Amino acid sequence: MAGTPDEPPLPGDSDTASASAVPALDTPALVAGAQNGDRQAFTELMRRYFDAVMRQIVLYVGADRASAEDVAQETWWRIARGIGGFSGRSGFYTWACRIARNEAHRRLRKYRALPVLPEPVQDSGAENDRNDRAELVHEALRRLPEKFRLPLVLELWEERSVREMADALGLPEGTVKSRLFRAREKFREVWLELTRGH
Amino acid sequence: MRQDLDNLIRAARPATSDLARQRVIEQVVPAFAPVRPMPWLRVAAVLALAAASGFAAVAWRGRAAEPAPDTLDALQADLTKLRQRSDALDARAAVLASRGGETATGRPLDQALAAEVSRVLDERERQRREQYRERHLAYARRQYQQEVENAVVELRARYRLGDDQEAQVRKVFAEHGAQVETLIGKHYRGGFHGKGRGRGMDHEFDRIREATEDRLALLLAEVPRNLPGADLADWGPNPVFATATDYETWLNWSEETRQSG
Repeated sequence: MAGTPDEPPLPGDSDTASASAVPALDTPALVAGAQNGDRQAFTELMRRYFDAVMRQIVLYVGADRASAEDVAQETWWRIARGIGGFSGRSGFYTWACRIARNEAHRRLRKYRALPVLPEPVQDSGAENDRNDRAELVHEALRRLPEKFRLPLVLELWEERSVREMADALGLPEGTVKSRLFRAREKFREVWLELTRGH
Repeated sequence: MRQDLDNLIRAARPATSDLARQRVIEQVVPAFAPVRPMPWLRVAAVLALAAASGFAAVAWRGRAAEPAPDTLDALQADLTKLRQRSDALDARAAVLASRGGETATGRPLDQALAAEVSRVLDERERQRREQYRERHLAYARRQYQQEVENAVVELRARYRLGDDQEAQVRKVFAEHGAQVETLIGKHYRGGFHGKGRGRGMDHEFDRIREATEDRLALLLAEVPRNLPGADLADWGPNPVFATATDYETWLNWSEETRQSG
C-alpha cells in the first residue's frame, strides 16, 4: 500500500485530530502500530474508519440503529483480535468491510426466522418518498460487486480523494479510477433496472 | 446523467452517530489485544516433529532387526545401535572437517540434509492444506445445504413452484455447489496457491455463478435475488466458518481470499 503521510481524517471525524496523539500517520503506519499492540494507533484507526464501515453495515442490515451498532461492535472486536494476522495484501478498509459484511450476514441469518416488525409510520409524505428513494439507492449499491461499491461510496459518501481511496483500498490510483468509472456504469445499469416501471 | 446519479447516491448517505462511535470505541479498545500468527513456531514444530520421527524410526528399526527377549535387553540393544550410529557420524564429520576449501552448501551431506528438510516441510505443508481442504469442504457442503433449503422454501412460495420445477431448481443448486466445491478444492491443491485468490479464481467463480443465474432465469423467468452461495465470500471466511472448522483454517482462507488488485 502506498504511504500517505498527511492523510486527512474522514469527514464526520471532527475530533480525530484533537483526540489522538497519532493523527498524522497514514493508514498502513497505523495498522503496523496496532499490529504491534499500540492501542492509540488502533483507536485512531477506529476513529478514522468507524463511520465508513458503519455505513456499509447499514447497507446490509438496514437502518435499525441497534442492529447496526451490534454488528459494528462485533466487527471491530474481530478487527481488534485479527489485525495481527492482517498482511496488507488488500487495503485495511477493504478488509474491515469484508469482516463487517460477514458479521452482518451472520446476524441476518440468525434472525431470518424472526418476524419483521413494521416500520413506524412517518407523518410526512415527502419524508417517506425520500426514505423510499434512499432504500432503492441502497439496494442498487448492494447489488454492485464489492470491488465497485467500495470505491464509489468512498468517493461519494466519505468524500475521499483518489489517493486516499488508493490508500484505504490498497490499490494503485489508476485501478481506483478505472473501478470508479466502471462502478458508475454498473450503478446506472442497476438503477435503471430497479426503477423500470416506477 | 452522471451528476444526477452522483447526487442521488450522496443523498442516500446513511447518517452515523457520534454517540454510537464513542460507545463502540469505549467497548472495544479496552479489550484490544491483537493475536499475531507465529509462522516460525510452525516451522520449529515441524523440525521438532521431523527430528522426533527420525529418532523413533531409528529406535524402531533397531527393535525390528534384533528382537530382544525382554524390554531391558531391547533398550540396551537400541542404545548400542545409537552409539554405533553416533560414532559413525562423528567419524564422517571428522573426515568432512579435514577437507579444506569446501563450502558449507557444497558438502554432499549438507545438501542431502537440506533436501530432506525441504521435503519434510513440503510434505507437512501439503498435509496441512489437505486438512484445511477437508474441513473447509465439509463446512461448505453443510452450510450450502442449509442455505439451499431456505432458498428453495422462499422460491417455492414466491414462484408457486410445482414439484417438477422444484426438482429442477434443486438440481441447478446442487450442480452449482459441486462446481464451487471443485473450485475451492482446486485452490487448496495448488490451483491458485501462492498468488492469493487472484483473478483466475474470481473469474472462474463469476463464470459458475452467471451460468447458474442463466439456468435459473430460464426456469423462473427472472433471476431471483439472494441466491445461496452467489458470492465467493459466502463460502467463508465468516464466523460460522470459523466455529464450524477451526481458527487456523479460517485464518488461512481469510488470507487466501483477500481481494487482490
